[in-house]
Amino acid sequence: MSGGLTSEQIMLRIERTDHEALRASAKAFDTAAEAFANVRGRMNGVILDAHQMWDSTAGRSFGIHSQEVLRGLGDVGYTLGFLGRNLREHAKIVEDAKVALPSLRKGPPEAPYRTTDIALATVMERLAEVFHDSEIKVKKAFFSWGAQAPGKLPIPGLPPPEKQSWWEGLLFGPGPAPTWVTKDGDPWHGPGSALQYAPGSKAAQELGEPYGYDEDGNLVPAWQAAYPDEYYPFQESGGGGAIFRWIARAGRGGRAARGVQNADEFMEAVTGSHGWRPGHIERHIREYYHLPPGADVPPWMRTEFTNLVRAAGENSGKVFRWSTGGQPTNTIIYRDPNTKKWIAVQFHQEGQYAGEFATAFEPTPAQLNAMLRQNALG
Amino acid sequence: MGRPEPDGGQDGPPAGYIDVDVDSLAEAAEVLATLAADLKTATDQVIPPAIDVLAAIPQSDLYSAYAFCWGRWSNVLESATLAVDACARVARDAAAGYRRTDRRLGE
Repeated sequence: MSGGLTSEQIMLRIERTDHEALRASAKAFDTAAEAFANVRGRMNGVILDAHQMWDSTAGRSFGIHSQEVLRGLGDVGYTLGFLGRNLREHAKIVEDAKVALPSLRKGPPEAPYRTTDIALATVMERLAEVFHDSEIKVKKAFFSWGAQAPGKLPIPGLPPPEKQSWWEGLLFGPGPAPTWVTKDGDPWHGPGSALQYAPGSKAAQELGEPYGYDEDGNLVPAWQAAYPDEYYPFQESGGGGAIFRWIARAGRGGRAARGVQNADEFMEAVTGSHGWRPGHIERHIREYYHLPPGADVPPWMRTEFTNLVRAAGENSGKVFRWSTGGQPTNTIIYRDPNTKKWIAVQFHQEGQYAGEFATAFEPTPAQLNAMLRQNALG
Repeated sequence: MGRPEPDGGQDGPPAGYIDVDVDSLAEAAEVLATLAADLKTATDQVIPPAIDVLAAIPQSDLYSAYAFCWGRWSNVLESATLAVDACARVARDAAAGYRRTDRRLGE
């Protein structure tokens, strides 16, 4: 065991981490860092010259502003190198760990690293510790340097409260709304909460910043947290993605209206939603496979597309806030390991269809980048 | 460097005249525009591999930390590129403005 994760879970993580892709990205970061350093050096020369040739108030303002731009370029250059270094170090740990995996994969297909052999379990535990230590080291570095970037720190969104059936409501009253916690572990009633206080007021200041729990069960600021409370990982331990909590079940108003338990229920909710109606989803399938408008969608495409949406749901760990057609959505992303194509699956965040599937499409890297930016800034 | 301000009545530029090497400033603007274009290229090239990291790491705290760090700094990356481009435009517009003024003074 390493914190809240089992050795088995960590073995699967090692298996699923692509160290070669990490190295390729690290190399790209290094190349970009060089380009930025080069531009910074040349710009510095130009600015020094400009200082000589442009002697006026406007010229001096230009000089001051340019120095700020140079500082920004320096920070970005450092960041690119920093990302490259950290990814490369983690890739090395993954590569070394992967060497040992085949000799440890002795369990059944559904739990390949389950074992009752104490010697094997001990080896796995050691391997898990080395790998997870690297994850924690790099994670801390990324959170720490990320927080240094200009801009407010975000407060991630929370899933809506579970809607109870009529008899549960009658017996127990409304269910608890998910909340972040204070540093002392009490419910945090800040922005987004039903009991929020005016920003900057004494009550809001006393409330402090919101906290949550990381995957190891440590209390951390909300922008670093995986869960708002300690029970989430236990509730999700039966399998399933993080998006499951945000989903409205098919047949709204029937059973509990939010939260699905497994991939079958997830797909039942998705395919039963307004957004999956034939005229709408077929357009997206055509776009995903680059078919001309109006072309017939072959059954295999529909099946594959449906399976991709299912895989995105099952593997979702992080739910991003994004929008479609100006409507806010909760979004998950997934890359097909076979075709290397991304798929973004969006669910309405509010309004008549809140919690329902909205759309699924292939996002460009630039669109994904914009989504990351939006989520990382408060 | 600025010339000593004339006190009137003698040869030399009028009071308030500022010393600008217009041609060099225009050249500097061109260089800055090239640098902005280089940064745009570097930024466009790094985004796809930066996004690839999200497929190379299983969803976990590390995944979220990377998304957070890159999301915030890629914002600065884009701003820096735009800022260099803005510097180029300011220098180019200033050079054009000074050139117009010089022309009028020479008329």
